[in-house]
Amino acid sequence: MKRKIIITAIFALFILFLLFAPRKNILKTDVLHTFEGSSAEHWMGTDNLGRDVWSLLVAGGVRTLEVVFLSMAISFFAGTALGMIAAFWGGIIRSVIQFLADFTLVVPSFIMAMVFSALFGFSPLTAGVIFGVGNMGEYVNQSFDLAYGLKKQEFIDAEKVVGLGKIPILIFHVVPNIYRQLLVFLGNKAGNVTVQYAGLAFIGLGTDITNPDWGTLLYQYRAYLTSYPMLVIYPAAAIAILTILFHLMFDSRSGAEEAVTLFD
Amino acid sequence: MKRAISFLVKWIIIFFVASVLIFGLVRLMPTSPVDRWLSSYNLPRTEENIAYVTERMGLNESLPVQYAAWIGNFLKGDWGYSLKSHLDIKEQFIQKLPYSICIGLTGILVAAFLSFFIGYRAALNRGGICDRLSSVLSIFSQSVPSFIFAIIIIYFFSVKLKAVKFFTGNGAYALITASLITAFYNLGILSRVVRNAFREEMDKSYVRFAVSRGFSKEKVLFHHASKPVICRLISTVIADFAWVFGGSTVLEFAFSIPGVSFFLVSSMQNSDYNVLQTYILIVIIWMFFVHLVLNLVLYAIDVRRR
Repeated sequence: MKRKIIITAIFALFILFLLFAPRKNILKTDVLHTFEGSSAEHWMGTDNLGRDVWSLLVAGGVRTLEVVFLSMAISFFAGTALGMIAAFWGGIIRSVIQFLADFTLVVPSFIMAMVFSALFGFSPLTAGVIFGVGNMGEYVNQSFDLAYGLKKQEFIDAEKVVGLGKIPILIFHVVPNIYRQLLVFLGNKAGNVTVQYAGLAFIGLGTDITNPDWGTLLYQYRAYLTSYPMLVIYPAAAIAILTILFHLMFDSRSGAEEAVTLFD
Repeated sequence: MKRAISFLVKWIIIFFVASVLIFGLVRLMPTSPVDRWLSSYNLPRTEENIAYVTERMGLNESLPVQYAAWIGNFLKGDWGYSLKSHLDIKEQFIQKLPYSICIGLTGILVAAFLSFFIGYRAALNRGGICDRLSSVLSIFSQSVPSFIFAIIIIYFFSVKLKAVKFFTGNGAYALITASLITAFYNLGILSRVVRNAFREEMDKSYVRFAVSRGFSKEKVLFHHASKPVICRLISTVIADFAWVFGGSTVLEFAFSIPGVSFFLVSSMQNSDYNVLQTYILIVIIWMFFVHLVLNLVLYAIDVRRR
């Protein structure tokens, strides 16, 4: 329990920090002060154009968070809702929803994100929507299985007999029973989206240098790995910290005891 | 039989929905390839030029006609020409596909093979070396993007130690390293899957019974409990095969391996309609074969599915 509170606190602090940390103008270049080390003025030094690395990292972090929250919101809410609808309505609706879920699982979301960013420009909005839709399939299947299991339980039958509509049953009685199992997924997926978004920015389809992402920074600084390794280490560390925090935050199993078998 | 038919029907629908979707999306693109083509050759955008190039690219027909012509030719094996370079797309893909498939296939197969043994040891010795190793690997692979790992490897082996040349020569080193990185990245998660599946089997009555009769624990687990675990591993791997195209993109880019995904990235920069469309269809066909083969394997191993 104590561990959970500590992780939550660190997670919240990290997010608030990224959102509200002081940052300088990231567009300002300073050719006289390139590749400077850490100082009071530039906390993480400056890069090849004399830009403040700290501000670039924070700006990239905010964009990453936008993508992660957008995609998680889409895949979690829409996926859960569609899965439950498929389980409770059945028939043609169920076939259509399951087909869509299979479809998103077959077409890799990374490829779709690449195609979309080439077509409509690269922005946190497009990336977030595509990753959200791409990850939806798993939520649909998962919530379908959970809700389908609940559908056969007696308390749902009783509510139907009483005359409660399907929608109130879903919202007030099915959701509270299934959301915990779905949340475990969330941390995993949020971490994956962070890494995938960095990869997408690394490939750099239509990115512009004035809107830095962690992936873009890594792409720009990869040539300086030999001479100024810190420039690569900072964004890499930022990605690693954020993903590990996501994993720890939603991983409810970590505290739970595993069943002891004959083998132990 | 009925399941085979519904499997086929599902995939045919997926294929056509995807083709319509990508065809429509590509047409929504803000810049037209005609303009790109003209500006790349520094030609003025006169009415005549535009009309001529549009005609030459076959973009003057109505959309349904274009779609029907495209999909018909695709199914006949004529994948058209790249709008930019006018090379045959089919030849280009056939040249480049082996690289991507090599990275993905060796990566996943090596990872699946090793993960079975690591997961097996991890399940036997809870909290032992293999157990720790597998969880460290899985956290690492999910929190450090593969391209950073690739950059660091390039730096150490070719800049610092000067042992391997990744970007000159025939590119064999780059290909092998990219395959190994793919394997390494799949290893952690797959071995956790194997471990958890083994732990589940351990608690079942048939395993407990065999152990109580005096068979050694290692043998019971390896000989009797391995089949359901392998089934679980295969069904996890099916989803991973989408990674062959998605995940390998970044590695192809980092090592500049001339695979299909690298080709896709360069075609996108020229908004090359035809290559984009063909690429998506190839991904779907690839996934179809993966699902077909692995489901047949599952069908052969897992009697419960019949």
